[in-house]
Amino acid sequence: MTVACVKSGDVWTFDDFSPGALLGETSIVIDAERVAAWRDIYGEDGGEGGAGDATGRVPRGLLVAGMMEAYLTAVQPRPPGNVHASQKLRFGRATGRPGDRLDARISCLDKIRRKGRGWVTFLVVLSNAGHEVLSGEIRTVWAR
Amino acid sequence: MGQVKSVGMRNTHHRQAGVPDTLVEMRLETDAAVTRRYAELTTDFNPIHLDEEFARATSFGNPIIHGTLGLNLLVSAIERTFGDALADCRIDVRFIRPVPVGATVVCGGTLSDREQRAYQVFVRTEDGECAVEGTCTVDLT
Repeated sequence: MTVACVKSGDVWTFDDFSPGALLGETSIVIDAERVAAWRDIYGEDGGEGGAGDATGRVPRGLLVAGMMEAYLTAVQPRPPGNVHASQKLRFGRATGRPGDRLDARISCLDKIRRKGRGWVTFLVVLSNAGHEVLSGEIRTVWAR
Repeated sequence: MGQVKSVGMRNTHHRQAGVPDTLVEMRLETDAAVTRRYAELTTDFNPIHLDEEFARATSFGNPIIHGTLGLNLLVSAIERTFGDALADCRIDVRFIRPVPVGATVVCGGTLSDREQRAYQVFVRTEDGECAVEGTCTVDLT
């Protein structure tokens, strides 16, 4: 059975989410602009194993940035006041290189009400040509 | 624009053993331009990160950096520590405290379990306020 999430109003609310439900799929291209932005922020080499090194692999942090973009694209608009409370990251052995197109799958992993707050955890899986490069769990306090 | 510096030297002896006692410490000076660039990178244009007037009206009082802006400095520190030997990596952190735009953040980690290759990791401001804390476990080739 496919579980669905349906936004009921102007913004996504806690009640709209169903654990296990797919929220969206998108793709992230590791283009020159993205690599340049990373270098502007974190420096020219982007870290060992980074965009400028001999292996050609992009820094893993660039994958994290892509994960956030995928989440923000799939779950919007969001109510003001959400809090990004915690984060799990699991990087696979596969990675990305400049020019690669990463497939992103965004789903609701869990939600719970505790002490008057609604906690929602999202799962974002980034894959490159079918190989998982990053699995990220974004745990949030949902404002509405 | 970015002012990233490694502030801890890699320990060659421990590197050869595969599991150093500490991660390379890295430092990043944040400002409005860095935060704006990170917003463009992630498409996260939440005004709490970018709009001083908006932020003044919130409990934070000033714009704050994106949580993953600091977290990604930690990811870079892990890469710099292990280099090409890093095969698999798992990170589990909590965002403890917001970091105001303009602060310098420092990240690093301390080995907590050599057998498991596990580290206690942190991102903090230069004046010692902890922003992110958690664990990291690595697999090496």
